[in-house]
Amino acid sequence: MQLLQQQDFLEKYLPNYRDLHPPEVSKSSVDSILTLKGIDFSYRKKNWLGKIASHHVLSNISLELFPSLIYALLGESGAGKTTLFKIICSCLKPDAGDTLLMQKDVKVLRETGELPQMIQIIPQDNGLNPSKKIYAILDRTLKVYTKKNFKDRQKLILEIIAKVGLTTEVLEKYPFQLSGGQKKRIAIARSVLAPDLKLLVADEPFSGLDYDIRKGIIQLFLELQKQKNFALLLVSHELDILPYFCNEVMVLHKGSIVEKGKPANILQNPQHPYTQSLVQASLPSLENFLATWANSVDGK
Amino acid sequence: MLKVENLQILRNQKTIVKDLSLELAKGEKIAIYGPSGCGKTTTGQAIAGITDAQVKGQIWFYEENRANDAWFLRKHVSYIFQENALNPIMNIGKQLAEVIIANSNNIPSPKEIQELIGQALSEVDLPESFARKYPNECSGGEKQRILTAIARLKNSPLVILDEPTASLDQIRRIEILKIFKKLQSSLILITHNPYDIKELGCGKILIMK
Repeated sequence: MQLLQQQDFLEKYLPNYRDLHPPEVSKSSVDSILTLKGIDFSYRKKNWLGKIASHHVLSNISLELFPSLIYALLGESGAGKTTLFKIICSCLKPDAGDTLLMQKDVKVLRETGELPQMIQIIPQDNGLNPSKKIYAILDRTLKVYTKKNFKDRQKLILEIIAKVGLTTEVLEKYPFQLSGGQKKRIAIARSVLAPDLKLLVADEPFSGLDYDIRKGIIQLFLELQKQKNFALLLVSHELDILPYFCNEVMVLHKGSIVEKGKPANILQNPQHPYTQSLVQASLPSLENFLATWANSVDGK
Repeated sequence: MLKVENLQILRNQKTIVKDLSLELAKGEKIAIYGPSGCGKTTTGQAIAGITDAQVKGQIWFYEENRANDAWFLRKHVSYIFQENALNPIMNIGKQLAEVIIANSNNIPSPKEIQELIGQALSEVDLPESFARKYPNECSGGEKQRILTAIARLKNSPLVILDEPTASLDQIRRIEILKIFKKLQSSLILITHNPYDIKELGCGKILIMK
């Protein structure tokens, strides 16, 4: 136990993300992984009188995601983030607009069964089956996606566990016996097991985790991305970490994308009132980033 | 004002906290920082007299050892929980009225109580109409503000904040920290977020392992 003054404490314990860098943008023209064109969506519900009440959620959303880059989606609750996910995974049918994955319609991919191999989602609560041991959870994924025999599957699981930085002891445990960071790593391992992964969507991957554990998770994401070249779409409020390792930030407000661009540009010069308030709120934790960013610009 | 000496906390014969010493002057802000599971919350609850664990050591409150006097501690220390501790079947106004009645010598008239409730809510930037709401109708940040209003009404010299910003987004976090800053009493902030400590301006930080 130790008693520190404020100055000493901040020097020692304020998280430092300066050694994180976003993946490099390849200059050769690459086809986009995911293309959304003019998506419109509203929920329809019959009320007790039999009248149809519609609730408009998304309007005219177009975006393009490219391989091996990191995208961040910011937005308050009720902005339509989950609905957008569901449309990307073709769980919901949009009223208008197209969803193309690798230049193919998502609906077609879903019918042929290729879709779950290409898009994986990490839910906020990790979505691990509480009644199964970790080994069974990972094994189940492989059974669904591949036709490998027992020994090959075992080998793959041991490999992936080492890759996400865990020991084999974890495999014999249940999810409730693991800490939050370990569970997140298992969830990432499971999603990466999909053989033909193109797009990984993570919903609030950093909520409820300590600052140093967050950094470990980001490093894991960056490492896996180098090997597998998938695009990563993050939904998060943590404006203090995102600018260090994201290629592009999108701000979703009331069902439409109000701002889009490089994190440094958005933080320096936010246009929309919602973005302005968000940046204002996280300013104290962004001082570091803005200072280093300004320096790098001057240097060039 | 508060002085904790050689505090030791045991649960099922297992030592959770060992040799903790702390000193707090009036109006001072102090933070307890550490990873999850190191006994931060248990320490806070021991100081507030609301723990079920075995507490050994001395807790000096105004020059008197109150370690075994849980009722005294409960009356003088306000504890703002990580998960909210509001009564789910009573509306906010009634809960605030209960605090007002319990902390005044002469029971005030209903009109006075209503005024006091309005005042207390406006001090934490909530409209008066909140008095008629139930806890399940309030968001996380709003519930925490109501607990702050209760701490103000109690006039407690010490307020313990247990991870007050854990489940809030960036904008709500800054708002609630501003309200905590306005509190006159001494504060103990329990957190694992270093930015909270910076923004609240805690002078001393106790690191637990």
